Order: sequence, then C-alpha cells, then structure tokens
Amino acid sequence: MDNSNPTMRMLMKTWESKISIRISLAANDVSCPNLPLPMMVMLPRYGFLQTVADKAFQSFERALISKHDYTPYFEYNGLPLPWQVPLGSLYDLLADDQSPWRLIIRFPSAMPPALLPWIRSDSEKNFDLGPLRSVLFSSLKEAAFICRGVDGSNDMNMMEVGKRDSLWESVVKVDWAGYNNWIESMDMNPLNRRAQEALPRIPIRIFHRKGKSVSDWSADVKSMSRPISVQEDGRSPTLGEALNDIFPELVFEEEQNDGGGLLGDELMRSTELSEDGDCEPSSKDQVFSQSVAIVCGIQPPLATPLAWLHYNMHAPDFFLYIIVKPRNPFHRVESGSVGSGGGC
Amino acid sequence: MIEYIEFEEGARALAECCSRLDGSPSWEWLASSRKESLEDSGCLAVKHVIYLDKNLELPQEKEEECDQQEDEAGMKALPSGIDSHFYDFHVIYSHSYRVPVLWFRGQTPDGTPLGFTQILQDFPQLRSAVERMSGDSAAVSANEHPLLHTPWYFVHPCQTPSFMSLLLKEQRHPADSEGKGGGERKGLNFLVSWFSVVLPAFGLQPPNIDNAHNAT
Repeated sequence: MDNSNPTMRMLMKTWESKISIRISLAANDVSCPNLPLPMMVMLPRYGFLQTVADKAFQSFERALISKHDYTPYFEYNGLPLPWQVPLGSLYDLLADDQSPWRLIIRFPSAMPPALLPWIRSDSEKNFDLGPLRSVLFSSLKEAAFICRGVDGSNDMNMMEVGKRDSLWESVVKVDWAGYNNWIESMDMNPLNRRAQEALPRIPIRIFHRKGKSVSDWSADVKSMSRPISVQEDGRSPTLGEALNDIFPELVFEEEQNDGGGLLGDELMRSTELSEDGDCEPSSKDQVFSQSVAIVCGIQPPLATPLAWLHYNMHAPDFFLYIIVKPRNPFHRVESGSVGSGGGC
Repeated sequence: MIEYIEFEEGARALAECCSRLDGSPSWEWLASSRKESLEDSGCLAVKHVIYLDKNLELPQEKEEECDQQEDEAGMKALPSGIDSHFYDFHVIYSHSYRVPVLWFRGQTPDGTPLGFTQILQDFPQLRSAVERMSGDSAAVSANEHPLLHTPWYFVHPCQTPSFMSLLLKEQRHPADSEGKGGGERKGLNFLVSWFSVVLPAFGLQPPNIDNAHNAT
C-alpha cells in the first residue's frame, strides 16, 4: 500500500478520528450514596460503544446494585442508543457537537424492547461481543453483494474462520493495517463492473433526523440502506444528486467552505472543485428549513462524487454512512477538522 | 431479482387474489402511512397465531386492514385460558439484494415481545435451519424494520438471488416482462415461487394463487 497516496491517507485519518465520551452510571442503578466518578474515554468514530462496555463494567462494578448476567447499553438524554450503529454516526446524528459526549451506561439483564435483542450463544456466561460480530458480517455481506453480486456474498460466506477472526479483531481495535489487507484481498471496489446484470452500485446507509431532538428512535429517526447506482456513462452521482433523489422535499445547505481543517482541505483538493465557495443569500425561512448532510463529522460539498466519498470515508462494514438532519443556524458544523467533535 | 415497482405491483396483485380466496393465511398490502421520502410505499403483511395447546383446533380468522402504525386493535380476543403467540409476518423489498425479505415478530396476548428462543420453539423447522447456519452466517437475525424502525427478526436474503434464479429458470414463464401488466406478472410469479421456499419453515401455506386466478 502506498502511504503517500493522498486518498489512502484520507481513509486512514477517518479511521484515526476519535470522539471524546464521558460515561456515567444512572443514579437509580447505584447501591452506594455517592455516584462514582464518570469514566472518560476517546473512542474511534468507526468503533462501537459496546466495545467499551466491559471496561465500564469493571470500573463501576462495586457501585452497581445488580451485577449478574448483564447486557449493557448506552443512553443519551434518556434515549437508548442502538448498539449496532457506529459511534460516529450516532454522535453526528444526536449529539449536536456536545464534547465530551455525556452518556449513561446501564446494565440490565436484557436489552430494552426499543433496542435490538442481544442474542448470545448459550455457552457464554460473561458479556462478549458475539452479536456485534454477527451484525458486522451481515452488513459486510450485504455490501459485498451490492459491489460484487452473488460472488461477493458467497465469498463472504465461504471465508475461512481464521481470516474472519482477524478481520473482526481489526474492526474491534479499529486497526487500519489489518483491515486494509482484508479489503484489498476481497476486491470490493464498487466501481468494478462485477455485477454484470446491472450498473455498479455504491453501498450507502442514511440516518435521517427530521426534528430538533430525538426522544423515540423509531418515530424520530429514519434509517435506510440505499445502494446508489453509477450512471450509464460511468460517472458517479454527486452527494447532492443522490440526496435530491432520496429526499425530494428537502433543501440541502451547501457547505460553507471557510478553509478550515486538514480533512476539509484534502476534500476540496481531491474533488478539484472551483474555489468559488459563495453560497446564494437565502431568506430567513430558507435558512431555518434547510437540512445538512454530514459524513464523518464534516459537511462535504454537495458536488462531491459519491463514489469518492465512499472510497475515502466508508465504515468498516464497507457502507458509507450519511447523516441528514435539520440545519441548526446557531450551531456550525466543523468543516473538516480531524477528530471533529472530540477534541484532540 | 426484481425491481421495486415489480415487487409492489406483484404484491398488490397477490393481496387482491388473497382477498378472493377463502382460508388462510390471507396476505394483504399494508400501505405505509408515513411516506416522507423515497421510502417504500408499503409491504405485504399477514398475521398468524400459534396455539400453544396443540390439541386445540381453531379456525384462523381473516385479518382486518390495519394501519401500519402498530395498531394493537387488530389483535382478536381469544377465549380465556388458551395460551397463544401472535405473529406478524411482513414481506419487504430489499434494495440491496433486490429481492423480497421475510420479516417477523412474535408477541404474547398482552403485547410482550417474544424472545428468539421462544420463537424458535414455535417453529421447529426454522430452529433446524438456524442451528445449521449460525454465527457469522446466521439464517435469522434481528434488525430495524425498514418501515417501522422497531426491532424485528428477518430471514437472511443472501441465498435468495441464487435459489430464485434456479427456480425461475425451471418454471420458464412466457412473456414475463412483456406487454402491459408484465411487471405485475413478473412480480407475482416471483413472490409465489419465493413463498414456496421460505414459508414452509414457519408452517405457513403459500396462497393458492392459481385458484384465485381461475375464479376471476
């Protein structure tokens, strides 16, 4: 792998990007009069909250009322957080740049009904990440099918255990080198015309938050897996074109390029866009009703080719995660600082 | 594999056929009441009851139309003293795999969701399939229902494109996608064939569409 390649550097930076989290116990889960001190962690954007649950349990164990056969989950402002969604996507969707992101961890015997069940194998008594691994491989298989058709999903099904184990290790530890070896061996570039029946497709997952806050995930957040087809002439649709197709009723704010941040600079150079970053003056109503599209904590220019975005910023499950939410006119999204939302 | 529009047209036609048939299960088209973006318009749905007292034979009642907004009034009151599990089955189009996918969930009469182990006890054939394929290539998993966004279970569609290609090649329906109504016919044929593979694991009979066609 050529480490001087700017696009490879970009994907590595995405993987290195971290979010600062403060984890506390809920008062009604605690057996002693004083709440233990919160735990501070820096977690990778493309990691999962469940990977730190065991460490949190060990840290808080003495204070807990009930300690047996626990199934941990995290909560933000009373909202149980879906454990299968990458941390960075949850953060971009819900946190409104709160830093550190203040979460509560709970240790019930089973997941609450609002969250996916944590189906563990019978032999496991202690908490293990088996269900998260199943979700990852299911997603990877779906992405492999989108990129390579039946061959892709078959190759995933036939992958030998050793290779799957090391892939899983790379994802849990967010180890770029290990993961990259695997990706190259699977030949998953969506622009290779492997699926002969139809145009190449790019794996995309979108989370759409309609309102100002989220109190009920199933009512307030819409999620979808929507592969986007490349055009017949081989051109990738832009982010703006794809969003207008999927959300025809929404108006998307064009990225305000104030030139800040290393990630933003690379984005601009690589897409070879014009330097004209002016946006048209909009009425007050337009400003308040606009939506923004966020990828890895930054707001890419709407003219960015989706294939480029996917290639440089896809998650470990090979999907590009796009967050769509109302623009908050009083709160600017950082346009491109590395590790945005999390500090250094 | 089929396009979404072929799926929807075929599904609506299938629901229409089912409405003319007696007996169960009666599939119907549930329109999504919250079509806000390029979401699917709806899905095929059927309700199914498992009576835990196996000696009891009660006729399956035809389901009423219900809004997709989780309307519990659709559940019928049963004679007291009978243990039963209520199931919902939804057929939803997967844009990734471009095939239908079977989603399901179970509840007790008071609305408590059934766990995975309880569900497998209700469907022995499904349990065998799950035991054969587990871990990284599970046959059944839980995920967010694509239209309702609550946790449901689904049967993995990764094998569907392969077995459907084989099945449809053998059937050789003439003029599948030609002429008016071609998309609907293709979608309907696809669904009927697909049902014959996935429904038996749940002890459900595929609807007898040929009879419905002949009756018109």
